[in-house]
Amino acid sequence: MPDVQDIQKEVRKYLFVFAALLCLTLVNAAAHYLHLGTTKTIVLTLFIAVIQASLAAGFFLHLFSEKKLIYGILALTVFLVVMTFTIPFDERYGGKQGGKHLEGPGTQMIMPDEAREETSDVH
Amino acid sequence: MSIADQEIPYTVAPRPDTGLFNAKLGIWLFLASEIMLFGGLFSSYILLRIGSPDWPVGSSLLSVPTGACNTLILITSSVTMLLAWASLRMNNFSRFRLYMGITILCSLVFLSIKGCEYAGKFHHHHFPKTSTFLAIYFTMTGIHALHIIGGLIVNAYLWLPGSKMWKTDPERFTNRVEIAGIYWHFVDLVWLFLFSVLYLL
Repeated sequence: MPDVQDIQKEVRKYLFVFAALLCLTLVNAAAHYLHLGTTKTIVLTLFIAVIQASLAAGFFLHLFSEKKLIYGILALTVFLVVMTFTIPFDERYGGKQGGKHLEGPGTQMIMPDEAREETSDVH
Repeated sequence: MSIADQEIPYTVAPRPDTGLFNAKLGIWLFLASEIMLFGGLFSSYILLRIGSPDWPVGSSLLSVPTGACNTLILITSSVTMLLAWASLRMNNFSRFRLYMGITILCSLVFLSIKGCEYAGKFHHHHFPKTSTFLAIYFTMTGIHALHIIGGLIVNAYLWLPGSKMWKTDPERFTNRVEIAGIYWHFVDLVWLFLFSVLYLL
């Protein structure tokens, strides 16, 4: 078992990270009301989210001081996740589609059956 | 010696080849599969969003203060989970009970708020079938809520009946709490992205 003083030091570190995460959450929510424009909002929001996730992963999940085997498992997983992100994009926007927006319902209501049949007849 | 009498090796001491005790390696392998699950969902979200000509801003359909409140609650529960583990390492079982109790309370409050949010959506006839945004919102937050329920069950077990192990095998019990904590922090981490992506963008 580690020394009590070492654990208390760790606890202080956790509380510091906790305060940082709380502040970043509030900043992220507040930034939303600044109406910075779509691109700036996306960049800022994701930037803050990545910092928060790094703090949580590094200190709470102890990834800053973990064994090599766990880094290996995570590296393989991240590689596979990146593939799940890139393959559909390549299929959809690369090659023949050439960056076109495909028809997606977005906020629209999902089509009733009759309308769907009509659409499929057209195609 | 019968099979029932045999002890499971490396529940406390680390394995010489991996440097980890078995449960820790197990939870990280499990989390790797979880990363794939949520990674696939986030990939679907991005693909649907980019492919759609008119995607709504999350805050036009969801309440940012409610989402922020839930984020703060989950972060708090993550820290109390760590404090519960640290208390056991300092041989302070009553503190463990207190912090684990707060963690469980936070998860219940989180689920209650989520439940109220869902009820409000249904009241306004906003269902998963209503739009693609709501479909991905309910799918992602619903799966996340199931993970919270799973963590809640494990934490409640460790808080009450499972805590008997503290008297017989304190180190192993401490390791169990650490493993439950790793899972809990991961669920918290996923929510940080869900909040940003669904509520703020």
